[in-house]
Amino acid sequence: MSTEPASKAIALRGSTDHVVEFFGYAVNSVLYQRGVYPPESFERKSKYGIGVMVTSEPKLREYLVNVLERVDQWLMESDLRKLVLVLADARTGATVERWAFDVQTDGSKTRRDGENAGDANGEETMKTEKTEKEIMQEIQAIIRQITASVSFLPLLDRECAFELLAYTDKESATPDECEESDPKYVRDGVEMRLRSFSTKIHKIEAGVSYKTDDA
Amino acid sequence: MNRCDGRKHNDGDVEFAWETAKENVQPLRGGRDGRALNDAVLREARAGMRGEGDDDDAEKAALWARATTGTSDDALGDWCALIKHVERKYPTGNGREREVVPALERCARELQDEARYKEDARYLRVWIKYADCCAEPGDIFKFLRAKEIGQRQALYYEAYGAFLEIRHAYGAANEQYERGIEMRAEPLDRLRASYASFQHRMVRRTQKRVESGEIDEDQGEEIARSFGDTLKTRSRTGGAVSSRRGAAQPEAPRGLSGPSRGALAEPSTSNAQEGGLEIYDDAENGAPTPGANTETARWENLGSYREMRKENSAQATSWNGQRATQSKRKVTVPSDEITVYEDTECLNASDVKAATARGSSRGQGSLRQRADGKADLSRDPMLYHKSGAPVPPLAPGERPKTLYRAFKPADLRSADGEEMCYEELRAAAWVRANGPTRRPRAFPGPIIEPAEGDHEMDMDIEDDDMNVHEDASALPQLATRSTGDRAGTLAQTASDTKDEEFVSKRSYVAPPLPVGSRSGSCASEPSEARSKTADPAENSPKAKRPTLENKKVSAGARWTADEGGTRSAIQDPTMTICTKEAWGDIMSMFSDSVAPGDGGYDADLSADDAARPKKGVASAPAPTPTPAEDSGSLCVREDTCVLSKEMLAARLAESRRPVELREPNDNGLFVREDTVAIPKNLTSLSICEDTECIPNFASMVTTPGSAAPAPHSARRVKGLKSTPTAGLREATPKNASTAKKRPALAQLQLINPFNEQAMDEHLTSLALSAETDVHIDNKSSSALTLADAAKCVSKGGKRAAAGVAVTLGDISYVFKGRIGEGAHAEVYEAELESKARTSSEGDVGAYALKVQEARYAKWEFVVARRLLERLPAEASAAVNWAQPTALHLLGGRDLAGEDATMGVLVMPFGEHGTLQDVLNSYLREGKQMHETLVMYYAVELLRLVEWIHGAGIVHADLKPDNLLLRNGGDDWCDWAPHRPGSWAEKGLALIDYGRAIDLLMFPEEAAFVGDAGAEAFRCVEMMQGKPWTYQADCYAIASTIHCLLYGSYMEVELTPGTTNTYRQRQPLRRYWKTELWEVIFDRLLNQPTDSTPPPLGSLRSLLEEQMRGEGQNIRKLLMHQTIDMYQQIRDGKVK
Repeated sequence: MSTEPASKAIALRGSTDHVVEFFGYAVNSVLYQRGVYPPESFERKSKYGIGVMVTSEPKLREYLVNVLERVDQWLMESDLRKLVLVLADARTGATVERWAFDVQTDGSKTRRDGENAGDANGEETMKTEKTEKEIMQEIQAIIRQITASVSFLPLLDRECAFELLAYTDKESATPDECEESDPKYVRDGVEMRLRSFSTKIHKIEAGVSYKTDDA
Repeated sequence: MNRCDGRKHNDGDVEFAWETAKENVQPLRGGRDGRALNDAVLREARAGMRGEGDDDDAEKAALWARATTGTSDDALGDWCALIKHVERKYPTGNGREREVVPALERCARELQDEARYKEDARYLRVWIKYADCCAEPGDIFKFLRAKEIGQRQALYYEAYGAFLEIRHAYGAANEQYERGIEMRAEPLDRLRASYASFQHRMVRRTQKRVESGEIDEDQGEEIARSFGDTLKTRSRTGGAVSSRRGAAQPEAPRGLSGPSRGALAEPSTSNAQEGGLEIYDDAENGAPTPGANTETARWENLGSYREMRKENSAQATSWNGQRATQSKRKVTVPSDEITVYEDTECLNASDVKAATARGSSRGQGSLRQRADGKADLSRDPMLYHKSGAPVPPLAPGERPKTLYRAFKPADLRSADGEEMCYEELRAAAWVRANGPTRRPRAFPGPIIEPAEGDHEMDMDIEDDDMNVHEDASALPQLATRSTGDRAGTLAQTASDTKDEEFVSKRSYVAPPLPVGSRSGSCASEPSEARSKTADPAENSPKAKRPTLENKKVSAGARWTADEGGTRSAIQDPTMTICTKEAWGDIMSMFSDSVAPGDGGYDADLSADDAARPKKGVASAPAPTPTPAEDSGSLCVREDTCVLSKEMLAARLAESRRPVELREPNDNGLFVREDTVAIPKNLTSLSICEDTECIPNFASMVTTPGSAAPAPHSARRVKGLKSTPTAGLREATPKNASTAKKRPALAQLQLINPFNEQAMDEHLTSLALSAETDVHIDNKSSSALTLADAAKCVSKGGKRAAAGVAVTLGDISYVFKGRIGEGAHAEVYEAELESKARTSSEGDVGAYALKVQEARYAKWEFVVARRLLERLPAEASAAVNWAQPTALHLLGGRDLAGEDATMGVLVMPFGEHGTLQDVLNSYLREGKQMHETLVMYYAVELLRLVEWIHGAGIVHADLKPDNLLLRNGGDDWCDWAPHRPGSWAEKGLALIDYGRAIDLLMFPEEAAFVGDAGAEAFRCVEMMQGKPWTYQADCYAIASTIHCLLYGSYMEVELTPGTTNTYRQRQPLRRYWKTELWEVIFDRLLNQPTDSTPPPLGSLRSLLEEQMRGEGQNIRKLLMHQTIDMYQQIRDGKVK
């Protein structure tokens, strides 16, 4: 019993690590694929059994690291609901693409108050049986999909800026470095759902909404 | 990974069907509806599985119908709807091609002449999409331009630019962007942004390529256009880079995104059945072949998609700014002459073969020879090994070394009209001349080699003909009586040949061979050829032929090599002579010229054509006495010519006394060896004292006038022909009455100018201590302090950065750092201490302190001061930089500074660096100095050296390190030969007179021996151990110019076909002003050992003339260079 909270903590920690790591790579991939930053500023890394492109630009890295730190904290506190990557036209500010990663936390596993007795009665959801490898594969699939999205995503020939939006619990406070923002939906956009992956505790679903240029 | 397999219906599979089909989906610019895409993919998958076509789409049919009826108001809108529909429905390859492309094509085609759609963005987009599917989008773009479709849309230019960029036609892409901006295409900002990013990419590209050393900087962004591409990588507008390097490009997607033409699927012919489409074919459209018609105005119809795809071969397109690469190998300067080289390896190999091959067909002699019955080995196996044997034909790959001017095929025909090769002709002639038996003769015909490198050896095949035609019986006579009856004519015609000017400059490399008459008889060839040349029927200067034969003979005489296999005898004359020893040997032979011991050889050296004419004059029908005399112990070689004893005596005698010219029309002119004959037709020539006649080579050949050939020592090939209109050089106030030839070696007073003792004596005599600015420091510690300071600043570090103070004499200096180091000296940068604390005017600021042995410091000081005295005012600017402000003598006790050990010269610091720094700045970036800028520096250099020569100083250590850059003045106007504006303050300054020689200290006939200076800058004479005067500087100038031109040190070689004319080894680039440089190098490298300064002024004028129109260019180039150098310093690349 006493180990349960501990193991849960570990599980949470482990899962969060996965998720945050995934976010990092996913955001990098999107930035690379969509040409937000020049391809030369990316370098290839081997991860999840595939090669992923991560940025080598120091400022960008710093920014991402900071944001993901915050995300990590929120996840540990089970506050994060969504992480959204918004691509907007640099000049007009209009959103052209919106990559949304929904976070579903298995609350039973993360309750800080040790009130997990209720869940501890063997209600093992299938999520708990995930092995590392499976998680890896799922993440791999998503990353691949991001690459594959070129088949339907429009060409972004304008300069784009990106933003990271985090949807959190209403109760949690807004940290200093963030500010409240509107959801930045894509106007008249098409929504495509992408794959999802899940760990023992979290389930992440990915989707993208974009505008088609149907002339 | 999950596979999309029509059978499986996993959720993920169905939902994400698009994912697995992503490679097949044509990405649309505007994106797709993902869901529709998914459906489409699924459908296609299922359809593919079921094997059905998907042609039951009512909607599609309806749309087609609507679009094609052409009745609606907005045809374009209808088409767009159709296109949109089919695009959505058929996202992947096959379907797309089947459905979408025809729709696009049709739409584009039908509406192309509609004015109202010309600037419709939708229509343009249709076209762009169409272009994307096409094999050759370039044509489409051009067509659009011709039709004025979409010319105001940014999209057009962006798409076109992107396409061109992908095809590596960067120049063209640039054009398009610019054009678009010019045309104010909308939206302009977006276009500008695209252009900016394009330029950004270009810059990165060029940087990358310059770094990887693929291109020079000035190739810029243009890609070479390569020819003969393989089919795979061929593209039509702009060559593919990879094909240039032979790498095959992978098949890339066609259309706008790829450079190569991919294999295109066969269009299904089912199109015709669908919706009543008509198939356009050529006949109907009369479409021109794509790419052939670049005048877009006349374009009526773009060829249909299918038709265009049939084109498989790359068309030649108009030159769109690409560059054809030159082969990276050095291209020799193509000139009039064809220089045929002989490979020593081939020689050797074939010799061996010749010697050993008996039964081989090659050893059997040429067919001709065999036919003549002369070279039948079966009859006489020792044929080739006896003297007097015919020449074994050259093996394939061997080529005789000769220069040809013009090849007349008719000359090659023999009597029977059969075509023969030169070897055969020559061999035949020789055989006829000499027969197979040994005849101990040295044949009188001298081997004439016009030593002027510029005179091509005419392959006078007329001679051959004549030889061949000669009655066989007549020939031997002729041989023996080489001058025989021809002698008379010889004398007459000698004048029109260049006999006079021929100097028998042999290939010095050949030590005498103990060869029998074989070579001697070989020598007869030239002679008889010469005798032929004397035939009045032949007018052109003929003596060139002998040279050809000379070479031939040497080839033929190869087998005559020693047992020791020394074949060095018949070396290529182009062997670079660089060993002193070899030259020492030869020169020693030369100096024993009188002895007949090495008669043949020696005779060569001293004899010249005059021998023959002289004999002609003597006219005895039997010159045999002369040869016979020598034949005994004579080592006769192929180029032996016989000098009669009288001749020899006469020659020697004359070298000691003024020549009495026999020409009646001499008019008392004093002809010296560098007298130049000005052709008569130059009437309005103003000849002043430093007029120099630059040899115009053509005119040199036929200088008229001189009558009976006198035995001048006509060694100077520059046309020593006394003519009435000879131009004289009276450059120096020497004894003009003494017609000075190049004195025999014995005449020159050979002095070693670097003799330390002599220098010391001289310096002592000067009593330097009395001079102003000479400070003698007797403190014994000074020298040590100086040494310490020197070491300290050399090492660098904090202490050095602040400067190390040293007091020399009464003046305190603050040493800042070491700026140079040489064999003798070290140079430090320093400031006056007083200046370091305050800044006073009238101070140059920084000084260069040269620390060296006292002797040299003193000498340098002396020379600098003397220069100052002797130079004209205008010249002082150039040498001011070398003027020491002070000389400190340290380390001695003597008050007069006689025993000082160290000398420190204080000179102004040249802050712009040296020419070596300039060179380095180019080399560092892998670039080369522009030819025009080299010319500018050459002009400057020549001016400087001309000045100091005029002052009687030979610098003897000229090199880029010793040429300071001057960059004074702010008036950057265009350059002109008279140096307007600030140009007089720019250019070069000569420093470092430590090895300078003051000619006024020596007698007139002095010549110098000894070695000086850097390895790469030692003149030819130094290398050969021969005496020199001004050549030290001339050579160094040539070497410096070479460094600037090529970025590497100069190497010289004998000009082929001559024996003592040199030229630089590396050929001139084709796009340079080759004639100019040839003259310059030739002059600089081939100066005689003379007491008159060389004609640098004329060379400078030559250059200035060429630069006349380039004033603006020079200004720009120099500015750029200056900026680049500063940039490099700023970037920290220096040091």
